[in-house]
Amino acid sequence: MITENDIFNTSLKLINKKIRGIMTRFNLRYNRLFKDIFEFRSLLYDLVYCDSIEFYTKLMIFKREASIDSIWYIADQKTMDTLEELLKLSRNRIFRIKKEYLTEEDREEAMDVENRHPNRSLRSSDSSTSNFIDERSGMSIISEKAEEKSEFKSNWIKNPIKIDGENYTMDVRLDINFKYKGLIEILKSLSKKTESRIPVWIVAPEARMVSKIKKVINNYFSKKDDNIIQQLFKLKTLLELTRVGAVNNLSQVSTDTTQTNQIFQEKNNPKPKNGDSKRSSTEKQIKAEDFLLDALTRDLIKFKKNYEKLMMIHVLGYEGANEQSLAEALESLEERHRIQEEEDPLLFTHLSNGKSEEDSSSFKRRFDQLEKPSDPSLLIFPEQKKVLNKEDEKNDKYEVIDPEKLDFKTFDVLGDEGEVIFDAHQVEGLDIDVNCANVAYTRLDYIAQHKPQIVILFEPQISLLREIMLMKRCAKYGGKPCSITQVHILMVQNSIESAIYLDTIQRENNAFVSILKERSALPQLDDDPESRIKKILPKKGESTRSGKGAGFLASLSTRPIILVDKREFNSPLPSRLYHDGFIVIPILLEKGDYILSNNLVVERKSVETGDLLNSIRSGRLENQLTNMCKSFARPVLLIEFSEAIDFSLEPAEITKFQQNAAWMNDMSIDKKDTYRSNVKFHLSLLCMKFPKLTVIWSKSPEFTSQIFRRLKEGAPDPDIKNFLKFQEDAETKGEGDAIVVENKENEDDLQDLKKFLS
Amino acid sequence: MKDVTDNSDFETYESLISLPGPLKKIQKILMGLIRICIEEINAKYKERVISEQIFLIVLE
Repeated sequence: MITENDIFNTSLKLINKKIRGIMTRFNLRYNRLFKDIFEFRSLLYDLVYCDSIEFYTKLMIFKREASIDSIWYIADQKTMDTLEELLKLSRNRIFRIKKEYLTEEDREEAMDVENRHPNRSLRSSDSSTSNFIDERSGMSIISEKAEEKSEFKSNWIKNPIKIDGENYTMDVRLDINFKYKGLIEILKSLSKKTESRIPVWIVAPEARMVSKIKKVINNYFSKKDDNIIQQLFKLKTLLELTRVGAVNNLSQVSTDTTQTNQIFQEKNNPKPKNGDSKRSSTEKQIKAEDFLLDALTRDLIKFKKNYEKLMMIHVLGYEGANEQSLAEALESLEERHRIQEEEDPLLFTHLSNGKSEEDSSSFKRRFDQLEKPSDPSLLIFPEQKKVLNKEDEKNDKYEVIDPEKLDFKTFDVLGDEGEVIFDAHQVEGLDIDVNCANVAYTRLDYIAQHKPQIVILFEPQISLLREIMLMKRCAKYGGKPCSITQVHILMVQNSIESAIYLDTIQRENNAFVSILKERSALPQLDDDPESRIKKILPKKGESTRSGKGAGFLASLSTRPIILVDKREFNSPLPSRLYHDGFIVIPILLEKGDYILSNNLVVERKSVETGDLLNSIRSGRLENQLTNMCKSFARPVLLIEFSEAIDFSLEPAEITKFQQNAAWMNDMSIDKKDTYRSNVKFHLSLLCMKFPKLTVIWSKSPEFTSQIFRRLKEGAPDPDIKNFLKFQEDAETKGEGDAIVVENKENEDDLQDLKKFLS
Repeated sequence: MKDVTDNSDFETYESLISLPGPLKKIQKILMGLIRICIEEINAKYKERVISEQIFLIVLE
């Protein structure tokens, strides 16, 4: 197993197939390692396709669900450090907490401490999440390089958080995946102010990506929003997950149970603040995350309420309700919110219960069916705006997201089936369709029906690209017309995606090379059999026959004849001989495999199938040669190799042994030599015993065919009647059921043969 | 066969996106972790083959 070969291979299915075979040989511990490999590999994919929050959530889930014998728990210190760094880097893509220095002196002092202990910040402590804030300096572990700083665009929570009297700031980065941005850029470049819209087909690699791509396009082109609300919801879920996870991890991993218990205790029953006591960094981190979670929850609840009101106002207003009914409806909504907040302030997602929930969903459905207003901000009552602003002013703890920005457009509008409602015409000059076409049939069907002009491949799919090429080429030569004029391929450089792409191209090239090689090995089909026969026939005019077709029959009668044992037809040689212009007559032979003339017989032994080795060992070869030498003047032993094995005897024998016993690999050289010398020794003995015997070595059936032609030069064809006797005897005596059955099956052939010979 | 891979009938654009800095680091780490797992499995595989050989020799 090599990382580049096995992990960057084309598909997970291939790897699964390859690895599953050997997985059963290992114990559970190593099966766990395989699972780890698959998980890390899936993360490599997610790095490209998911946003930072999704990636980190998945990483956390993998860590939490890892069993005790996984690499997450059993590894050397260096690996553990690497895992810590992975968690840290993934988290820092979403948010990070930094100590805020009130004066320059504080900063310099902190930097001095950092410089004195440069390795401390990188060293992990017991908990996987406790490395967020360094214990000594309280500084963020992240080195604040200019390039990293520039990546943090938004700073949502600006006011410092106070933990144990120290101020921290929180940078929150809510950014969408960079690959989606690439897609947006392409769509922008394609957008033109034209009357007719160009059909664009965006091909997603998976079904789940379709809705994601639709959402992103909606956000950019229709809502003019940066997908902030969805990201905020995701962040909140993540924070809930990690906060619980941090405590769980402490209980699982930490060796210091006292400390763990203390943290649990402090979390559940917060003690009055004691500024002098140094709290653990884990606790600080949990506090900071709590703060962020609290801020987000309040913000989102407030926004959700606003959203519900807007919906209600819009629906009632649209249906012509009077002011009184509107006021009553709003009042009941307020009451419901109040009760709900008292019960569970965090439960903002479940807006209502029982009958009212039904009302809410029906409201939403009706709302979705309505025509959307051109400017939704007009629907916000001035009073409502004031209330929101007043609430903001009260919150001196943190700055909230601008409520003006959070209008209901930022929510995804879903259909009855839960699918994202997508306007195909939202980009100027384009008619966009997004779908996932994994099956060739659906792809071709789609192209035929929708006739897209531009295809955007979100993932480099070579198969689709080749299909399009084929369609275009077919159209060029009179096939069905193909509408596609442009294909855009989105690809991330130096990632698993590009590695797979290059690997696919490489495999495709290899396939072409192997096809060309195979084709060159095939008989020349452009050369028809008659012309091949003519090559080996006497010149025209030598035949005494005349009349229509007589020439061909005459040529047939003058083609060299080879009698081939019926049992030899499993090998490629008879077919090769036929193609090379010989008349191949299948017959049940008593001695030898191929009879070239009345005196010349050939016994073929294959090295590849182990026939040679087995015959030597069992002594069958010696018996066969004895019989052949008695009846024929020129017995030949043909030792045949193939292209798959080397043209030498030694490796072939070892291969045979390897097939039987893997431990041969480790056998001593002396032992191997013994086996080799045994074969050579036996062959030498046979040559000495049968002086008439000729041994011919052939590297392929083609080469054998050439040898046979040389041997046949000047030799008369065999007298078939002499050799049919054994077959007829076998039929009459019923020697072996198999032979009888075979003969019955070929009875017609035999009759034809007899007619031909007479 | 050249005809099949010839894409001169339509325009093909490859939009290459470079991996952002922090992602490069994460990718490197993930690759390193996969390599560690593979090395451990390979080590165990060799160990298993050797022990099997010893077992067979003893049986002989």
